[in-house]
Amino acid sequence: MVAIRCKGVAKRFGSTVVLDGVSLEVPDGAFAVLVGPSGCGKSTLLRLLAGLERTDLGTICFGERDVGELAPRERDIAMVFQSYALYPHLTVRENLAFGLRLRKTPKPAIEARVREVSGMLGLEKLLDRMPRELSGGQRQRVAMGRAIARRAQLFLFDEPLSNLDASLRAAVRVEIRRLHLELRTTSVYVTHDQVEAMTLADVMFVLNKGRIEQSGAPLDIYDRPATRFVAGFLGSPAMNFLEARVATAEGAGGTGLALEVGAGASLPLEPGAFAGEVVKGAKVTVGVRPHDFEPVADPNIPALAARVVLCEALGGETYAHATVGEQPLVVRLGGSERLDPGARLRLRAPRIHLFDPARGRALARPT
Amino acid sequence: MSPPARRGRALGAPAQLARVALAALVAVVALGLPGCAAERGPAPIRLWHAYRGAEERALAALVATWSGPPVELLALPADAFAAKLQAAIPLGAGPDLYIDAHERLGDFRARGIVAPVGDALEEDAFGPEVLPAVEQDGVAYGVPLTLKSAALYVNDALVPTDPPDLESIAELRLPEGVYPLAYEAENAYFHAAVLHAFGGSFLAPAGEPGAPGATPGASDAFGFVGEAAERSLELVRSLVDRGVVPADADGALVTRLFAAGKAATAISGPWLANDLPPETPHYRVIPLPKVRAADGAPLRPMLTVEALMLAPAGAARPEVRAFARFVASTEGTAILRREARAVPARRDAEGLLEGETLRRAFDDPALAADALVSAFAAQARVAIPMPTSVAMRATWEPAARALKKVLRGDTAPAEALREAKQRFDDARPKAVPAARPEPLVAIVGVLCLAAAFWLVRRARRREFRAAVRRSLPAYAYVLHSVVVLGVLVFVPLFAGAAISLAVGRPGELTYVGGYNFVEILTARGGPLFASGSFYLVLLVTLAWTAVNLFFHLGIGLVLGLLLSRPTLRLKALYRVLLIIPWAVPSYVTALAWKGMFHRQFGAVSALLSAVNDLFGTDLESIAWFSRFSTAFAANCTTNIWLGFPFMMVVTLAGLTAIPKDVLEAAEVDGATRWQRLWRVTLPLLRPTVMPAAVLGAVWTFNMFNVVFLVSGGEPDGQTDILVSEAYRWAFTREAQYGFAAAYSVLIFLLLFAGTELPGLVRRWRARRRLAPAAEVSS
Repeated sequence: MVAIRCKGVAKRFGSTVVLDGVSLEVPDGAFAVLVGPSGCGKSTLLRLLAGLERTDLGTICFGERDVGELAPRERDIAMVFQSYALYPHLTVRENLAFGLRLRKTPKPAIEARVREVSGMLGLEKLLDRMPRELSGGQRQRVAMGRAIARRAQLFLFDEPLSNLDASLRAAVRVEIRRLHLELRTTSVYVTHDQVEAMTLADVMFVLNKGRIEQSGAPLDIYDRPATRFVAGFLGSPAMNFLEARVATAEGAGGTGLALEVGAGASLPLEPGAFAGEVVKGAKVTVGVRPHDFEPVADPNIPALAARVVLCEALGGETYAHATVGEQPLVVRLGGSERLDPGARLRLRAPRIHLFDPARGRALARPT
Repeated sequence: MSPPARRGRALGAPAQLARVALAALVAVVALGLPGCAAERGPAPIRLWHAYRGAEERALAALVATWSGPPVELLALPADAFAAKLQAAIPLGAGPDLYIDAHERLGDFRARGIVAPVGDALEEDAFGPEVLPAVEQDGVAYGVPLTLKSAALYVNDALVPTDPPDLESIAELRLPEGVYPLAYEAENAYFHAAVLHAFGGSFLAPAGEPGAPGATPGASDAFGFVGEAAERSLELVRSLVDRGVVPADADGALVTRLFAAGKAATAISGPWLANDLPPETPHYRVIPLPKVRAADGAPLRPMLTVEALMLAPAGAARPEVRAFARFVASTEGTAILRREARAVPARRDAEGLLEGETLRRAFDDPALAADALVSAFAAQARVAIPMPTSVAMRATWEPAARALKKVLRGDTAPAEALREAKQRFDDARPKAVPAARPEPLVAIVGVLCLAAAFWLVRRARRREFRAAVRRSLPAYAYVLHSVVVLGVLVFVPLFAGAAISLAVGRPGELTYVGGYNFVEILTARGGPLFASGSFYLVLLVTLAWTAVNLFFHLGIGLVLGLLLSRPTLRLKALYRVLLIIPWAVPSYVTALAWKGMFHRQFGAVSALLSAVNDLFGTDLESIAWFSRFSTAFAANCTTNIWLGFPFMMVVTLAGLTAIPKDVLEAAEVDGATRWQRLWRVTLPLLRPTVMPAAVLGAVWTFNMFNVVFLVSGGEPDGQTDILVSEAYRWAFTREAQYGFAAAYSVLIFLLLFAGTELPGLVRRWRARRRLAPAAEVSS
């Protein structure tokens, strides 16, 4: 169990800058998730932590120990690879025992550990099989078992679920969470899947283009994205973004300001939400999550007028794809609601996010 | 041209084609019909030869002066000449007459491809040293044309006066580093001259030994024994020991030494004059000297008579005999002498110089060619024709081995000669009673019946017939490869296996059942691990295979691993350089290595002397091929050089198939570089490298080129492996093809067992392991 501290870590391959001064801290025993689109540098960061690559700049400390110059085997870590990387010439039992045998652990201790781990992961009946005789899910569990058996002070996961099918992925996700709660080993988990990130993370780091865009507890990040990138990356379906201009509101109440989305459509701005940040005539990007829209029946209440293009019924909920002027929009409706293409929809958005259209920075946090 | 005309022509084209085809057909039939042959004029005379360069041009010039029926000349490669004759003449597709060395007559006559020459030979024209060479049982089977023998080349500056005898050559006062005499002392052909001086011969004389008038080499018994042989060996050994004659000399070395003025005299044939570069010091050619130790008898070299031989069909045609007479005439051979410096076989040959005129002619550039021919002609008069008996060919190998052993000081002459005789007698074909073929016929019959029964039973099954019908188109796709494989692989395989059940020379094979196998497997009645026995050679072969495979795998793996390191620069360059040994044809490499291992002049010895010069050490150059251990090491070195690139390439390929993740996982798991190699990389390379290793083992087991070309089985056949031993039975021991075939069948069975048995055992074990499980589950 160890805390991780990275400071100003930079890495380039040739002329490509992969990591550009990344600093992060993972508390002892926490489950940290590095999430971001492909090419954002998250896997490289993990490999730097593992020692499979060396940093160009910056320091990496495990606890008080600077590990920057240490080989992987000196860092006391265990890693689960995307491809599982099981030793194809060894049985499951030998795979689990491999790291222990390298460390000259006494035989009875190895056997006990293998028994314990295989019990934890339900691998008892597979111990004498070869990796090629296992299914994808089983291989994944062996890979995890191999990491656990070592009792390393740090677990690294490199997209361990991306080769599994959807249902299995959900099950294993829960399993990983359960194991973490049981073992409490500091873990760093890399994924591009925001659902995994949201469900697993104690601390989440959103990476983009070699930098950390935002870090913190997953729900905090979800509720208060610091940038338009983070807002768009987290949440499914993704947040809607509408380009708008701040104008004087017609009609009753409010701040007297509204957001003009174009083609005569506008959203009223709730009072007090963006005090001081938004002035009349400014251009802003409005962010609304699909489930933050509410249909408005009363024609007297000011609302955003949208036209339905099509509906996707998922059973529990329905997503309506619509347009406001030229701008596309996704709205979550109740499970039984159906709207025909061309139908009009009047919407209200009690929770909105505003971003600086030029730099993507969040203007002010809605409470 | 008007359009209708064009159309008419277009319409007419097929008809015209048909007419042409018909005309061609008629022409072919007409030409083929014997009745029409008269219209073609006299049948041409077909003459085959193996001449090249000046000799070929001279022959063409000679034929151009012939006014009789047209002559068709065909030049064939020298090494395939006899084989072509043997194949073509019995089928009637061969020549009417051909030119070859007289010593083949015995063989050719046995095969019935040569006939008595009759009136083609002008008997009075040839001397008593020449005529016996072309006679078989008193009947002439060839018309002598030209003569070839060795003579003495003398460096004028170093040796101004002709040395009277061999001993005075040895006593010449010469500058440092100059050999008094250079010749291929270990070559039996050249040793014959010394042997003849002492009155000996390789084949024992017919009748009473030493009886007057006995022709040397008239019997089929080994003659390289007894006092004459021992004294000849002792003389040469003392010459080599005293540094008069270079040890281990081959033809190239003799040429080099004489051309560089490093040898005062050299014994060689007329071919040396062609090989000497222009900057060679001025030289003359004189007959070989006398030998004081042999009571003043002269050295008498082997004489080869190039003769016109008539195929049976040609001998029956008067115009062919007339043509042969014409070619061998005084005028004809004069052309060969002028154009190709060939020594005429006729007594009345013109333009030959003698005595003081000859000596002076060497100083006159205009007469130098004549002088050379004349000198060799003088030598030919005292030369002794090579015996024509088939047994002669079987004497070379034992005689050469005895020579080598004695000259290298390994064995006393008497002992070496006794071994040589034993070897000769051992390798001679023995009279074997023909076996009754009934058991074989019965076995083959039963097998055929069983196969037929099995086939019929399968064919009666409806689903089988349906499957065959369904896959008929697929059979069409594989048909050509089946045919090619059948013709190139299976037919020779079965033919070889069939020959292994017979003895005798090709064309007169006798079925003897398992005789050859029994002989081989009982070591021909001798001790099981006697020199040259199957078991000893098998042991050597296994050791050879194991040593080579070990180093191939070791070096290949290490280089493959080094080359796969991502940090290595110039990787592509190293890869190309390291593959070169593989890209060069193996025989070229083998010959290059053989040269490097030469005791005196090889690169290894040069390296040793360089080391000696540098560090003041006293390392002796090694006679690599005089001891088993060093000869075996030389062979292995050569073959390791040839074989490691393949394993390296296989390793590289195998390494690319190892996922990087797995190695990284091991790294994270705590494996050091070494542990990753032993516990991950090597086990994962196994599936790629194992088949290559099996393949490499089979190749090495059968690596004929290296063994044959580098050590040639030296010393004394000890480094021979099974294939080179099989080769010797077929090609240097009187064509005992049955024996050789039996060897190859045994090799096949050994390799088959060696490569297939492990797999079979594994499968059988796996089945046995599964069997109890099946019982439990059922």
